[in-house]
Amino acid sequence: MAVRTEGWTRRTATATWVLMIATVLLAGCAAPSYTYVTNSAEHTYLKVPTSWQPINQKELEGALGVDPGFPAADQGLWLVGYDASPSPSLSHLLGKQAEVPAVLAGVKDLPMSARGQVSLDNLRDFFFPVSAVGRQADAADPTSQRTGFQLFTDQVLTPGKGVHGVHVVFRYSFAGGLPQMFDQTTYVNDDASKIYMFFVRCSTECYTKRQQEISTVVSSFTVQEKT
Amino acid sequence: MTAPVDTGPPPEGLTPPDEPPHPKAEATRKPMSIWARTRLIALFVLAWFVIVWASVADNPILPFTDAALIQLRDSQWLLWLAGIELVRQVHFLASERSARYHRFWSQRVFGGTDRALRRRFSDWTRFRLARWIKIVLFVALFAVVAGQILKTSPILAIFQAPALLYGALPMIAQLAFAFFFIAFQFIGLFWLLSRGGVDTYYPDDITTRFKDVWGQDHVVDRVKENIVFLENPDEIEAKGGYVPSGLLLWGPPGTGKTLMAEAVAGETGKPYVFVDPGAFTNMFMGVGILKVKSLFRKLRKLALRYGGVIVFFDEADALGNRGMLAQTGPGGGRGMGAAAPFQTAGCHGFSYLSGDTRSLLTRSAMQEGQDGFVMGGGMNGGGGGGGGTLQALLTELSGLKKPRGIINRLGRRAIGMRPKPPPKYRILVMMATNMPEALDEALLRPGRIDRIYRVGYPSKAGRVRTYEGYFDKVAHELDLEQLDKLATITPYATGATIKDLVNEALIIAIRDGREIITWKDVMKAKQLKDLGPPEDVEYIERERHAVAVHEACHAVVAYRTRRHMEIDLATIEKGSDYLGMVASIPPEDQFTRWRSEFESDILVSLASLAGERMFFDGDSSSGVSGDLESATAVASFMEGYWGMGSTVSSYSTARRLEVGSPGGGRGGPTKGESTEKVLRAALADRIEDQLAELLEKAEAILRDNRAGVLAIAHALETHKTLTGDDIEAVLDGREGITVDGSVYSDPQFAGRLEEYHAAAAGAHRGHTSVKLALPAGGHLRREADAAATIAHDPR
Repeated sequence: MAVRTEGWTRRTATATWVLMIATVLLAGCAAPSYTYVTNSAEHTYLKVPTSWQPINQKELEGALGVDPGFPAADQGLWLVGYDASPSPSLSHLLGKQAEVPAVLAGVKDLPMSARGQVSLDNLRDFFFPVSAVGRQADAADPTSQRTGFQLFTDQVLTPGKGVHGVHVVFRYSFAGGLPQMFDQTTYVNDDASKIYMFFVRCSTECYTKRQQEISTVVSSFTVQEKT
Repeated sequence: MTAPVDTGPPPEGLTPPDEPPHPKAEATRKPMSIWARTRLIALFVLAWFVIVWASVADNPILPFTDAALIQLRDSQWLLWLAGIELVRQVHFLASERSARYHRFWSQRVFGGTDRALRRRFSDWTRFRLARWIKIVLFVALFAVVAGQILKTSPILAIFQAPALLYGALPMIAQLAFAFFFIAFQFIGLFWLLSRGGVDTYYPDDITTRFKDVWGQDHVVDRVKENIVFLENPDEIEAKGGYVPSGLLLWGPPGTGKTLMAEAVAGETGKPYVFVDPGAFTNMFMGVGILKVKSLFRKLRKLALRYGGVIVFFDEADALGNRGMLAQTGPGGGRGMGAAAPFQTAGCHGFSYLSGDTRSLLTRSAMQEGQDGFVMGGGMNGGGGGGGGTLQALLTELSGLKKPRGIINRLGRRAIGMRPKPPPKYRILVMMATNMPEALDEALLRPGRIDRIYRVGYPSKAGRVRTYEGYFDKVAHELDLEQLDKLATITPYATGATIKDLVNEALIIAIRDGREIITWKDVMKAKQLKDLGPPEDVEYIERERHAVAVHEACHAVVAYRTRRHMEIDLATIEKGSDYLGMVASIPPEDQFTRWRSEFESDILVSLASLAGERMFFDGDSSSGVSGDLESATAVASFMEGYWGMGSTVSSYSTARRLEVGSPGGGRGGPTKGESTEKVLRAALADRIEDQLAELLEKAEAILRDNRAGVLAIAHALETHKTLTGDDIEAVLDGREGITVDGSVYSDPQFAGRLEEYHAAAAGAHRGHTSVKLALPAGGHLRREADAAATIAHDPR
């Protein structure tokens, strides 16, 4: 009986070893299906499919007017861009039209003077004029090349801890190009010292086709103030 | 002759002194346990899981599986380490299985290094080195993992870890405060409860000295010896002995145990800690243990500061015990000589018996009367102390040699040093009890209580000294001879009873309006103490005569047969628990008891029955019940225990071993043997036989001394109470202290006594009054004069 018990223990031990090694090997072959974009300091989180590639950070910062002489973080700005195209390009994010989705996320410190002026309309109009007032101003601007505005969603978001913002989905055409869908979320924190920005864009056709992928990315955008 | 060449395997067993143990060269590697095989891998995997957990905790949108997959890539170095460890374990496994493989690696590859290391470092150094390397590796692993979690370099992470801890301090402090807030209520309560019950006296606080302890010189000498050893332990320790650390004084109450302990406190230059008997009786479980612990902490402190300390547990039986051992038979146990008349309104108690017989009867009465009563009954299961107190005391008593102190025990061990042995605490434990049977056996073992002294009744010399001591404090007119006599007639007097007697005598003197104690006051006081206050009950004449005859029979038989005892007094004054009494005392201190003495004890007991039957025509009273109980008990012990009957074997042993008693008390008669004979020989019948024989003997003695019985009965009826001298005077026909016995040798007076007795016996039969008056006579001339004076006194 004792011999049998010993044999059994030995077999169990061997099986455990084999299982452990197999697990590690299999796990090594697998890879996560998302890239997790994290800014722990700003408590800002985002995930994009692993097939999406990061857009060149320098170009992105340059395009958004960051002084290249200093790191962006020193200027109170954190920016990140991802592109679903195998060859990521800034134009997919900021250009006239994009056939594939591209995402921009960032956190921006607001100067003291600007903090009193942050309204929900400001947040809506953070990238493009979306609010009625913003669009009126845009319509009055003879140089504006934006046409074909349509608003699909306009939600006010209050995830908690004083963070609040808006989620808007709208369409614009730029300079007669194909209509582009924008899914934009912007937050401001409790003391209006930071603005959290996020949008995904692509053409209407692409937006319809890759709806599920885009909505996963949109819903993953999380700002979680700890205090 | 040359030594044989050792070709066999090396001998097993212990290595010679000063030689390290040689590891046995084995063919394969010694198999490892599962834990030893897996612990490093488990450590690496655990570290990896900590990193995964940290990343999940850091990112609210990161699921565990993805975190694990990410860390498989980012922290794969841990898995590599685990893999290397796995390979190492496979290598070990192979070494365990294959002797060749093992030999190759252990001798060819690592053999040189191993030997060099052994040469260069001792076993101990290698052990310490290995320990340090393990610690460093562990810290390094911790640093790397922490660095990964904190997204910084491992070195910085090590320094950040305390900062994190510091950051968490308020929270920790808050929790600690909450914990202490709750715990402190209990700590405080128990601290308060565990106070008290222990008094510390310093030298000069107590003025009692050994010279104040009288009549216990032998014990005092031994106790002094202990003090000497406590004061100068080198005297015995230098010679290889040890200082006896425990001392038990036991004996009857009032014999000076506590006084002796006080004297120890007064004589020694060491502090003296007095433990109250009630100190360990507590409402809550565990408080007793705390008290014991705090007591010994205090004792150790005092012992170190003053070079020694004495602790005295008064009434140590309060500590209780954890259950009784089987009670020993009579004579085997350590008896306490308390006289206890267990009869109510019998003829008298058994105060005419000797002390030992009394204590024997007391004990048998206790065993019979109260079912399950044992000495110190009710102490079972922890006794007064409550759960664990006694055990704590036992542990503390034998635990004085263990290393103490947190820094000493844990601190020194942590840095690889052996804890320092404790200093020698010189603690002398003294205990006093009058119920040594109630103490736990474990308490009395050498090492805890090394010496056990009986503080018995003081010797006669001691009693004389004690009387002198107490009488010196009051005004009296007693001479040395009288003091000597007083000591003789109070054989079981203790310091306490002597003090009480002297005080009582003083009270009697003061009540009489005098300031000086006389011999008469002392005698009155003694009578009061012995007999209690008389109840002032007047017997009707015929009953008075019956009681007087009853006591006279005891007195006459005692006078005629008993040489080891003298009659102290005889009385027919009714007390609270007797109708009359003949009390005897031993004339000298005696430590053995003999068959003839027990026989005469029984004769004295049976005299009342024999006498009543003889003088009242075969009638007898229930007043003899107590006498018969005593007689039967003594006869039973003589027959069954002491080999003083017709058989030799011990009844208690026969009963314990179930071998039956001689004569076939168990089972029927054998063939050809008369049933009657077998039955007669059984123990009860043998006792009855002996008693019947002695009853006949008592009758014979009374028949021969009929005149003496009537004379003493008359003297008792006249004077109510007679001293031993008086009884002798009556029987010898001379003048005594209160009686003039010469009248009783007059045959004419004896005839009048017979007439009076016949009248009283007739009245007894007819339940009528006695027709004849009690014959006058026997008064001392001076007493008669005094009586006449009082008669003329208008008061």
